[in-house]
Amino acid sequence: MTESSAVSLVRLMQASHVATLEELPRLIADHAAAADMHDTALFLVDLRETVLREVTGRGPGAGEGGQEFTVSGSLPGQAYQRVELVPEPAWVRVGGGARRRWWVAVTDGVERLGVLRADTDTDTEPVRQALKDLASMAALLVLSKRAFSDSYARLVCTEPMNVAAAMQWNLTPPPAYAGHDATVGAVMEPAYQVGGDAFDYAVAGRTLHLGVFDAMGHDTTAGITANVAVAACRNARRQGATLAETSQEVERALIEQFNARRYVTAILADLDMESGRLTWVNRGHHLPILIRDSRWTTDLSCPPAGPMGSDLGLPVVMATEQLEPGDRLLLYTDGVVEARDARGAEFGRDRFVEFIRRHHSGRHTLHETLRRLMNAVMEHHDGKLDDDATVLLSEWRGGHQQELTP
Amino acid sequence: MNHPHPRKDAAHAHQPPALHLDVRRTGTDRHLITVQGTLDLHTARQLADTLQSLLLADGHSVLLDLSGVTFLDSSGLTCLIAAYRTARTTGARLALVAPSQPVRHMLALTGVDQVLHSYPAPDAVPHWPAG
Repeated sequence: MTESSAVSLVRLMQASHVATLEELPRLIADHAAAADMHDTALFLVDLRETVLREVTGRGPGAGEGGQEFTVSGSLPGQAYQRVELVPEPAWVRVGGGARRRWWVAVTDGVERLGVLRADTDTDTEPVRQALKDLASMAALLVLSKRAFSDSYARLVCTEPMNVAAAMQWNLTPPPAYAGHDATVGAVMEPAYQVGGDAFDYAVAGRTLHLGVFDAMGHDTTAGITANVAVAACRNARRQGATLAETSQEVERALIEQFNARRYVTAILADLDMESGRLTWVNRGHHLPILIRDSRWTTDLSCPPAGPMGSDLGLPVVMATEQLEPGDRLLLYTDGVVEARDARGAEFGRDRFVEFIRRHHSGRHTLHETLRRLMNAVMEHHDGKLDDDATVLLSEWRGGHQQELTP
Repeated sequence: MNHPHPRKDAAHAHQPPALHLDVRRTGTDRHLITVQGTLDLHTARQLADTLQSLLLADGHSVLLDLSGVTFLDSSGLTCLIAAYRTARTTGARLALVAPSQPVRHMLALTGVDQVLHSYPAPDAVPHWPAG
């Protein structure tokens, strides 16, 4: 990046401080035109990562009159899936010359937000770099506006949500994290009709906190139950509670609210990202699956201490496991493995693990693997799930930071 | 969770009930409830009501035969947990008889099998208080 183009990106960032999401396409286009990137357009991916929608800045969803591309089977979708820069094969005549059209994944390095389109007069390495730089900046600009933009929320939803889903998507962290030798990705379906599923992760120093939750029922109360559980969990954790104590605090909060009429099963885990030591508790949930070497998998074992909120009074055991570099840890809820096809056959644990192994073996990133997994689960179930299905996939690379691909 | 459409249910009375309960007194302080069918959101309340009234007496034993339960979801499990807690409070006793595979799976997964004990047959359940 030349110094002038760096300064120019900083100016774009500063100009965005008081802009809304609706104004971003114009700001980006103005900046890009000055750097010989023409006809730019910003596209954002929907919640289920099925379609890329243009931000036009018009209408309540900021996408009125905009173009739309599917993630599967389109060139912009290719750029999104592969997190790359993809050119249109043919150059387009413009005036006396020709221009090449580009599609660039808009990502903050981990989370994929959409794609950026731009046309250039030449195809050189500096031009490609300038396109990537612009897409990086576009990602940060979108992230800085997302939290308070209803237009964003409207644009990325392709159907109406139930109340529980509206709560759950506010509750959960972004679906992707990478850093400190660890990568985390999460998916949750049915995205618009969630009941009581939730996931959580957070970083504190060298510790990566992980959690997957399944509140009983499929109604709004299930959503409320999951919210109480996750909030109580974070609260206890941030006050220095151990995993066992944290799960007991969640139990206490749930009993206070629901008097044991509602409960939440969960796996709560802490990964020491420097040593690879995993500690976890099992509150009546499906056991974590460890995938090693793409050949060896195992269910980690830990005696269940009963669902949180059920007041069974069972001892909470903290189990430990030493991870090896490259190990992947799967936390999930029953909807993933128990999704049934028209003949009643379950998607099943083996197919689930095999899918992760096959797709996440260098060919696709962890996040693209999860997107494809959910498509497969939904397809297996005729496009509609009866139960919530959540997957939280973590990879620990220990000492191989340079190989870390989000 | 009460049946919201009683008339609709009546109209479909020809369909086999999703849950069948058979309650039998097998001793002065002992009842055997045989449960057949699916124990889920729609049927758990029926069993819960039956259980609650029988578990209110101190020293009373309720044996729950779950060998004919083909499906148990979280609502069904809630019903069993609630019954266990009631028994714990009132001094009654709840024991499971020959739970089917789906029931055993759910009880083991959640840890509920550590507090709700199972026996292969009604006469294998020791008398209360156990010697």
